Amino acid sequence: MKQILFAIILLALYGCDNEKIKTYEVDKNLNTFSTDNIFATKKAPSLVREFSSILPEGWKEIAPSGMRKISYTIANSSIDFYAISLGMGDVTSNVNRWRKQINLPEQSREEILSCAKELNASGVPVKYFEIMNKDINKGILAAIIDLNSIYWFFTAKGNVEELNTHSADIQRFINSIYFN
Amino acid sequence: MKIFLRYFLSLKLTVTLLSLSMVLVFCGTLAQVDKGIWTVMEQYFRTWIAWIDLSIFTKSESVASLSLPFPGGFLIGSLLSLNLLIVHAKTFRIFVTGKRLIIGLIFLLLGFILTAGVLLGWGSDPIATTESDAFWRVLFRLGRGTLAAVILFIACYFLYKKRAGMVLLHAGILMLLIGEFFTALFAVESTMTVREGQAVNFIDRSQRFEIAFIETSNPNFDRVTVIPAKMLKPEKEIKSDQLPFNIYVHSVFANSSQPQLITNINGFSADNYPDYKSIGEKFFIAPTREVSGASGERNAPAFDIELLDKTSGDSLGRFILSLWFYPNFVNQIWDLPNEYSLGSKKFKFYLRNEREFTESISGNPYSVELLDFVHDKYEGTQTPKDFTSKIRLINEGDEVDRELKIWMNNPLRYSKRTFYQSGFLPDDKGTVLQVVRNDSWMIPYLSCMIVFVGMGAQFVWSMGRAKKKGSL
Repeated sequence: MKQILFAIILLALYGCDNEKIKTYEVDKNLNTFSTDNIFATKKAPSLVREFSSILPEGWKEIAPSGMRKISYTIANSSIDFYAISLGMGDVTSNVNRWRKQINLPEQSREEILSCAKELNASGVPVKYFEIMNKDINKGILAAIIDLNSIYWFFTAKGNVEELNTHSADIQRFINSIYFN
Repeated sequence: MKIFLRYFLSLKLTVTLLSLSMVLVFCGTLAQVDKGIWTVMEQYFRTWIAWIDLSIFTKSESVASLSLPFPGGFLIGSLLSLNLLIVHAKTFRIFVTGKRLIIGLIFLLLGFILTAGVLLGWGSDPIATTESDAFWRVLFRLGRGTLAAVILFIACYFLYKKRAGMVLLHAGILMLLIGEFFTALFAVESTMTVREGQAVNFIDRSQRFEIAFIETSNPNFDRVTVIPAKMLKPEKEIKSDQLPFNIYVHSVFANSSQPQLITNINGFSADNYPDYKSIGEKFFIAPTREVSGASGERNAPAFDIELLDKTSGDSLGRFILSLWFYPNFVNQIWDLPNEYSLGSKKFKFYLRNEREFTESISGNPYSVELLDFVHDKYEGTQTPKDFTSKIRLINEGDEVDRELKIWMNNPLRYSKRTFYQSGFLPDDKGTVLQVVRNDSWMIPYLSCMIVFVGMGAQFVWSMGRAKKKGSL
């Protein structure tokens, strides 16, 4: 019995850490990271707990309200850009809902998917849509991100001209999103 | 001694310990709502005395801050093992003699040797990857365990006759308990992040952290001084001849908020925030509650430190070091070191996962180069189908230079480490491998086969007995 107890104590002691300060020299290349270095452009990670992102110049975050996880203001534009997350995310019904909001007829799943642009939010596939109705000068840019059982919707609503102007920034922003 | 033995021979003790373990598992599961999985493991299971937070049962402020002592996982496991050993020693005695005893002991020795061989991987390829069907790899592994279990069963048959099955299955359970103890003490989890075309010779220990001061003044090499995070306690000063300054630790955050640009924070008041230098001047970092073990998120610890002049003790600047700033924590999306210059010496420093340089068993360093990362999707969809890292394993000292493939559920085993496909970098530019060293990884496989053989034998015997009696 004594031997067993002794062995247990030895094991426990072996498990104890021997912490000390160490110095070593390494090749310069070993400590460099080939990051995209997004902060070199002084852009910001998101305030939202669930993800980080790059805010283009002139963008500001607005605190969550209601279903909105976060909203963004874009300088010199009236675009209403916000993000929500839901437990369901059927592409067809959502795109048709957006189309209805700007007086466009519904489309079939195949038609909708053929218009989808594929973005990549730091490794997560994104379906991105640009839905415009020039007749009423309204449009919606929307991204659906499927995180298995959770869906994130990023929706920008505004007039056609402003949306076209900021489309590239919005896509860059979507691509920069990094989910934790 | 007799009282001690009587106490440990009691079946009541077994039932009590099993009940306590159920309570512990229940409390540990509840605790994961508010605490990280590793914190819970350390607080409840991998400890001799667990401190159960009453806050897991009630949010009442009067008791929420209290904790109750309870037997920890190590204590319950050890007592159960002791209980099982003593009961076996007393109940399952060897009564056979002569030739039978000798044959039994020979088989027992053979069984032990075979078991040791399976555990230590005798005869295994030093570089093991799945070259063909994973099914055969798993079958071969279970087959080796079964062979050892059958030899042990033969030994038990000679030594214990019809109680052989019972003895063997209890031995399997004991082995499982001991195996977990070894895993808890010695298993090490790390990650290796490699970009395409890059060769990496270090791993990041997942649950251990260090502050690394990297002196970048020399054009040929960097001089790195690392301080283990465990040495950094709040309101404690660190003095070392290896650094040209002392370090005062103001506070330690178990988890910190994601960095936010200070200019983006509405109503930010500099009066209520420390006057940090370098990266802390731009980014706001605050302590935040630990992530829930159920969420799968990771904690990002942070250290609020101040560099002090070695002679005068004057402040050289206060810095916030968060794991958020370390590139490998954020899949190399950004690189945000703190920077400081002292005379001609330039330093950049991080809080980072403890870095361990990869060495083979022979002591020779090796590196992993990522040749290609393949991210297959189901046709016509964005749904991931498979992730594959095509790597080159280079160990010049051991004359190893091989191209290998690591993909989901098909790891590489090399030098006592197992490299699993775990994640990938944005835009599929690189791979994240989980690197596990667990020398007792075969114990659960082996234990299961021992229990299986023992239980099967016991079942067959019991059925035979019942048939003889005419019960069936």
